Amino acid sequence: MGRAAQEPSAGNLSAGRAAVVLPVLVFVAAVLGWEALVRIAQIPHYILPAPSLILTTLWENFGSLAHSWWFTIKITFGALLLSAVLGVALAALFAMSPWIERSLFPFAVVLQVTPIVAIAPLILIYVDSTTAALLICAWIVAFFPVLSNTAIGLRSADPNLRDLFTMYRATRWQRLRLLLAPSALPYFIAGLKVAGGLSLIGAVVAEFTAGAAGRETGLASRILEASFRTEVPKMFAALLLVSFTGIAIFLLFNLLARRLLGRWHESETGPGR
Amino acid sequence: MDAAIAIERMGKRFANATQALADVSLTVQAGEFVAILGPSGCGKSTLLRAVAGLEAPTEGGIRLAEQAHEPGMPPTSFVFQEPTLMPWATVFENVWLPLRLAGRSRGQAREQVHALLRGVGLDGFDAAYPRELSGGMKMRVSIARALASGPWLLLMDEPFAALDEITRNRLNDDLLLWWQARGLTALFVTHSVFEAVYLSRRIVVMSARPGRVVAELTVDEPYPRSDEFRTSQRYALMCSRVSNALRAGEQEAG
Amino acid sequence: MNRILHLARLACIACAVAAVGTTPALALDKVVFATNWKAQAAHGGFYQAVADGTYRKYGLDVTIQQGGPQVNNRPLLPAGKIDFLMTGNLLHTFDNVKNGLPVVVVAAMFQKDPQALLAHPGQRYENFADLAKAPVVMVAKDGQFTWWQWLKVQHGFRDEQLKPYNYNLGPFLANDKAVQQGYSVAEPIYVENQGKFKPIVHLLADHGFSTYSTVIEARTDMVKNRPDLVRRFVDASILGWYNYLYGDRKAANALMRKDNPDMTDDELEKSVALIREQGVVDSGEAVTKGIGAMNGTRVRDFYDKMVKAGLYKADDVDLSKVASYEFVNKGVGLDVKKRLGAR
Repeated sequence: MGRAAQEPSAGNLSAGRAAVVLPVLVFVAAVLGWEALVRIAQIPHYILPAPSLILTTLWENFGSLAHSWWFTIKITFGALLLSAVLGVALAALFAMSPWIERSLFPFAVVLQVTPIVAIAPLILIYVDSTTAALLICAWIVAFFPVLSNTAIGLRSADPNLRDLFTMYRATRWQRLRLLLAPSALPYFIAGLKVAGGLSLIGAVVAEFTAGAAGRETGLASRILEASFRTEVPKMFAALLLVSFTGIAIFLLFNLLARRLLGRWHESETGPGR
Repeated sequence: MDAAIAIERMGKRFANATQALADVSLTVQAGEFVAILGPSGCGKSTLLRAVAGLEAPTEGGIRLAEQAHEPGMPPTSFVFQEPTLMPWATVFENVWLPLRLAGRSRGQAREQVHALLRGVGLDGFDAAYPRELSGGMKMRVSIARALASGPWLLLMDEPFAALDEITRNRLNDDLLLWWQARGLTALFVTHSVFEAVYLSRRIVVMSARPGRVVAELTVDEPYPRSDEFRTSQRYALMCSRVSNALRAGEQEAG
Repeated sequence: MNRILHLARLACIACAVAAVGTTPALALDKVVFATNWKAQAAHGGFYQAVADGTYRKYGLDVTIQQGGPQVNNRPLLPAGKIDFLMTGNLLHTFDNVKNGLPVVVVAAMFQKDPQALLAHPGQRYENFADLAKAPVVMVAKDGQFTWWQWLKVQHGFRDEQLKPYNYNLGPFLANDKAVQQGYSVAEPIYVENQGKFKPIVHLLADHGFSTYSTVIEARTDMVKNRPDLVRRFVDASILGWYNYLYGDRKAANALMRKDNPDMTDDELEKSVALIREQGVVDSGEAVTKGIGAMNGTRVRDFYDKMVKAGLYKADDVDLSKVASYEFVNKGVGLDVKKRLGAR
């Protein structure tokens, strides 16, 4: 029963383990170094809090911070979902009609390059619900990479395969489903990876400019609040949660990419995996 | 017998004014194995694509006779120089493709796909992905797919050019077996004199661009052919005749 | 008439040049003073002291660093990047002391906090209590985390009404029922200019928000190690305010317009009139003890009110660390006021 055999080697095994252990070690060393620096140089907590202080503050305030964290996560993933769905839909539309693409693409570019900090207050004027406004802002930031990448991906199908599908008299739907979509998948995933981080940034930045204190608030409001109340360790604690979320999103999409592309696409099957 | 393929004074000029082919006339009988031989850029691939219906002639015409083939499927199959497999699909799914596009479900196609894979010597590789296969194995999958739709005409565009000699020779032998077993008509484009002589009954030699037929030679060796033929005197003689015709064609176009 | 004015102006310039030229070249102390907004009449006294050379006379080379909508100058003080900081109310100082930041208030230029809520006329917002029923109340970030919390507890406002105020009058002007924050001596002028109506103004200070405002904060180590510098800055600033309110403020206005090109002379003058009319700066204790006056009883009283409103717990803040009273209450500038003929 032959599959082309891949030789396991001692090198591969320890390389896999090292990939996890090494970054963790470096990270822990950095945190310890930070703690040492603060203690030795006696840096005041309102300039640079020590990691130990940040963690204690996080623990003490976890109840309220967790609420805000959940809100930010909801906005982030909501925006991401919107970006993915609309990005793919629009990319498919572009693939089917070059005229539509030419007409609408400039708008997409404008959306991409206009700073969200400038747009957010405007959107808040036009949209009543703060949550909806935040969602829209986060979506604007995350949308373009998905659209752009997927559009390119849909165009990247092997021309010989395209001819083959023509010869086998494939319907338009069959072509999209069996050829164009799988060809576009690696590009879409790459766009999604970028959009993942961006939707978090969008959610946070949008809330900085357009959020309101109150019940529906995310981590950005907590960061601002802590900043205005001069509670610097709490500010760092909230920032820590934001970073953690960003890392989690990054890892999540890496995993997704591995699952979907790991068996066949060069981006995920490279040497040493 | 009426010709299975009749190419009459066919020419192809591209949009950028390149005249790829000029005044090509050729007939192919059903069941023949015909090689199209020529230097690079002579338009032989364009000719093959025109027969496949992927390019339209700008002058003259191509007629394909109605021959018995799998109903509901296209009468022609094409094998490219690259295996042109879907990298995201397994070997099974790749071979299943023509059947799937014609509406056969995975279950309906299973037996046929397995038989095809057995036929090309890839029994048991159903679940493998293309990137796990060698070049020769990928090409076998590509041929299995081409045969899946049950065509009467097999068009092959330098399919073994990228493979090493040993693999190429083995595939040459296998290809002849498959051709004979199914009674296919085969049009085989190549730039290798040796391959053309070994495989075909008739060799059509083309000139450089704009491509036209400069010679047609017949290889009288009966089928099945074997290694013995490859090392024989008559093979060497035939090869040198064909080479001369090829060289003459190149000079003629000048 | 023009000719005489022209000659007079030339003469003034000549005098100024001479004055600068003949002043002995003292090494001036460089001081950076950060404000909490873009230059406006509410900062007038400080700009006056720069423009008319009062700071220089007190041996100070003062740079005024503006605040603004996206600018937060507050962390710069404990970090040592600025020397003095203007803040809008004592809540900031309470927070600082609560969190162990070594800063202290050294003067209170405003006896009354001009923080106010504005509403459209004819919408039944004549009474302050009506505001709590407004569908939309627009408050900026700073206020959301401070006095808005007090409004919720003390006056029944609710988070459902809250919308972020991004320093754009548009949403307020467009919605008759909207309420927004503002400085009683500033925003009403802009609303009248842009919206062509006089808004109803409810001063928070009239309803229990009894904090000092536009206070000067300094680092405790500067108060301890360089009290002379602090005293000079405070005194010169106080004089600046007297001169701005009652004297010739054209140079100060010009300086403020340079920092904030969106500001007009008309707006500045109208604002000064409101400051005087509402007794924001020169009222209460300041009348007898000089501008900048503050006393610990009032600080304690305000703190108690905030504790009652739930912003702090009773022992969160050591009130002795909130302010240093040694630089004010000395009647500095009262003579200037009399000389300028102000009442």
